[in-house]
Amino acid sequence: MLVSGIGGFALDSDFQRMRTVAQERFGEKGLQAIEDWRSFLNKTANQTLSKRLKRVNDFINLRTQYVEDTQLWGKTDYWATPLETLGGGAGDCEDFALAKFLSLRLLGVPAANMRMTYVRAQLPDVKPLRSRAHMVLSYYPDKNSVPLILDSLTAEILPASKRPDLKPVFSFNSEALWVPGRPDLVVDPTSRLSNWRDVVARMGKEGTTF
Amino acid sequence: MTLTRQLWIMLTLTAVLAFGGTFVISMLSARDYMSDQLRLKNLDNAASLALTLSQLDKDLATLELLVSAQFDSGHYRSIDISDLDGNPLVRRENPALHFAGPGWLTQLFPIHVEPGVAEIQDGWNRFARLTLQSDSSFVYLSLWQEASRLAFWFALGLLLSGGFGSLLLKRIVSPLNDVVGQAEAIGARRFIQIPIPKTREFSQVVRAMNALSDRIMHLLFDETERLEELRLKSHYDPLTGLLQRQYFMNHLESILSNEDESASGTLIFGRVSGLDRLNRTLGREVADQLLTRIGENLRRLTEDKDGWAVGRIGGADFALLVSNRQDVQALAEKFSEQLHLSCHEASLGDEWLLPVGATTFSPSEDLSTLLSRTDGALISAEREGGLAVQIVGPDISALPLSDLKSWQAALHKALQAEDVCLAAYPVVGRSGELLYDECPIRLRINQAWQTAAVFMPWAARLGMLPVMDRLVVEKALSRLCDTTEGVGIHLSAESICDSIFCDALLTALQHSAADIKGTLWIGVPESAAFRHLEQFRKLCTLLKPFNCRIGVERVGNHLKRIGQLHDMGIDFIKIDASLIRDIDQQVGNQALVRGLCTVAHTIGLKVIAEGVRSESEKDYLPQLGLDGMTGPAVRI
Repeated sequence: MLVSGIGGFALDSDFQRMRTVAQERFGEKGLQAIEDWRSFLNKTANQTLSKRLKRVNDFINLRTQYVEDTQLWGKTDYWATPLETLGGGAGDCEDFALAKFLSLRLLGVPAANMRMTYVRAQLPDVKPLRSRAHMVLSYYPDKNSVPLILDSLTAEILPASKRPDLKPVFSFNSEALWVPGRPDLVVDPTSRLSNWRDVVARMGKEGTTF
Repeated sequence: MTLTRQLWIMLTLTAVLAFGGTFVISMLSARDYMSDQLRLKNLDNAASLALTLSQLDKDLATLELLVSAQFDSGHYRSIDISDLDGNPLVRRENPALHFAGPGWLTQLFPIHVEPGVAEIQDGWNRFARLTLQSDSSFVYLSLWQEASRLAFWFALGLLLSGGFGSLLLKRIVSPLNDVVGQAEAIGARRFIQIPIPKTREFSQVVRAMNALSDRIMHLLFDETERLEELRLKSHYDPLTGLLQRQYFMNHLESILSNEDESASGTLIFGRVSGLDRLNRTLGREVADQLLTRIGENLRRLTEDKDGWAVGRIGGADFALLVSNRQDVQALAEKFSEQLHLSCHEASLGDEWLLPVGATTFSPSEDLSTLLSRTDGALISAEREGGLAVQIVGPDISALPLSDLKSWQAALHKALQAEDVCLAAYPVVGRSGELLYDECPIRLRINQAWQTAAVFMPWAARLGMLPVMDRLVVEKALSRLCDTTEGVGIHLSAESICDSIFCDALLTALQHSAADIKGTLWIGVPESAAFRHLEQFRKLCTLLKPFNCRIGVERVGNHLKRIGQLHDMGIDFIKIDASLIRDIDQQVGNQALVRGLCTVAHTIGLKVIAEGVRSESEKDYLPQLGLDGMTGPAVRI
């Protein structure tokens, strides 16, 4: 059984809905990807924290091919839901980060310890040195410590201090979205106004919440 | 409660309900919408401020500067930066709610907007937490404006629909007033008919009531017609169509006892001398033809003239009574002319003697004196023979003055000196109770109080009747201030036709301190009422609001027209003394008076007998249906 808590699939029926959506949109391949993801989560649920981080980072990085939004979705900046990322097996940096965020939430990692971080990344393999906008998932073991970086560009999880190629700009997580006692606010009509809230709303429809 | 008021209440209730519903719904939806907007603004502003701060140095001065800059230039309630443990670093706050509207609005529709929260980063480290709340007073301001606008439009709508509805309602129920008026009139036994209104429900009512009125009017007219026939049959000589002796004498006697200008006048007797001989020599048919001619010509002479009466007072004797006329010579010659004309028409020669005797009479003169004086004139005319007209002057020693000029001076003097008072004769009801006092005017002329009959003929000739009547009204009203007993006065024909008098009467009644609750009884002579029917109707309408009782006096000569009084709103009629004379013995008059009472009661009038002279008359009258009586024999 999956973990319980504030996030995750509160009910099996939520997962069933996710399966249905995946099958409808991505066919057998999509369904299989969701099934795999679920069994992966089940297997990983009881691991130590560092193992959970490592395995989630690997699972998403391996399963997902990096494709730009313009190619994949025909839009310049589309935030895909984890279901879309996993089902389609492709995504760009924020899709990686979001899928990892959700997977870790489902594995019982508190949202307060994770932040989606905009960074300026220096790409080592390109000459001359050039920066690009990028997004990673930062894990803060406690609130004042240096975070661990779950990146789609590197396989290894490193503390931020070991990543001179990344310059943080701004970070956020799901906390500000929540209004105690008003879960409906997340899916209210105005939520379409930002990419972040839009994807959260769409996730809600697919059966997942943080 | 009137329909209009009910309409207003209904409309107001509807408007208040609609307003209340609309108010709550629009307030809630506006509040929710604006709360959402405010929440998004909080989130966005928090995120963008946190983003800016993340890029800068994290010294306190910079933080404070940026927060102040944002706070002071924007619309915020508070901006707060605390470290991750919750210790405040920078805080700007403006807790006072700048809202000028009523406090209940903020209590009724509380606004809780979630603050915007974002984290400030220092490199990879999480540095602080930023909490931002926007000012929400503009939400209340706009709610209040919305509520005021809503209230204004609803009030406007209420006024418009109420005004329009009232007008419409007025139009719809306007026939109702007429219907009610008719119902009240019928209740007061005035059987009026009104036009059928367009509203169907009303028209059915009106049709039914019109039918009722119509049926009663027919009954009434049939009855008065019958009464008139009865009167003609019993009072008039069948051959000549002139008054029989007895009724002529009754009439004369009642004239003599009148208390107004009609109490003086001229009396003329004429005779066909040798009628027996004519009968014998030329036959009864010729004699009858002559008498018929005389009847026709004399009737034509008096036709349509008030105060003229003509009778056959003996087999060959005729009489003409003209009240309030002193030109005895002219009248006597006219009378004589008619007799000769009749002779001529009957193809008789000039050999027949037609003597005429005439005299004038003054008020309160004794009947037998007057008759013997006139007889004397006739006899001396007969003795002279031929076409003689003999005139005997009256005994003028009883009169205080004899010529018009001195009367004019005397009357003005009396009026100026206020040498005026009212007499009082009781009018009693069936059981002897006082109904009211009949109050004719008295003037002091040459140190003696004179009755109206003495000076009224002169006043009439001087055109002073309206002035006299005005004086009577004033005196009566001031008398009513002092006593609770009713006061009866009467108005002359000249007065009711005089618009200045009518205005003065109205003014006097309006300004009178007297509490008139049916205590002022105003009588108008029958001849005046019927001759000036429209003016009389106007007078009745004029007097009705003052609760006066209006009546017709000296009723007896126009019985057929009594029905016409049914819709005038009058209260009583007084039967002429000539009909009351010896009522206990006059079977014909008994039937007449009884019928008259029935008709009058049908249209809601009281019937009062005038000129009751004897105890036997007085005792007999109640069984005929009379409601009251007055006269020399009536005392309290």
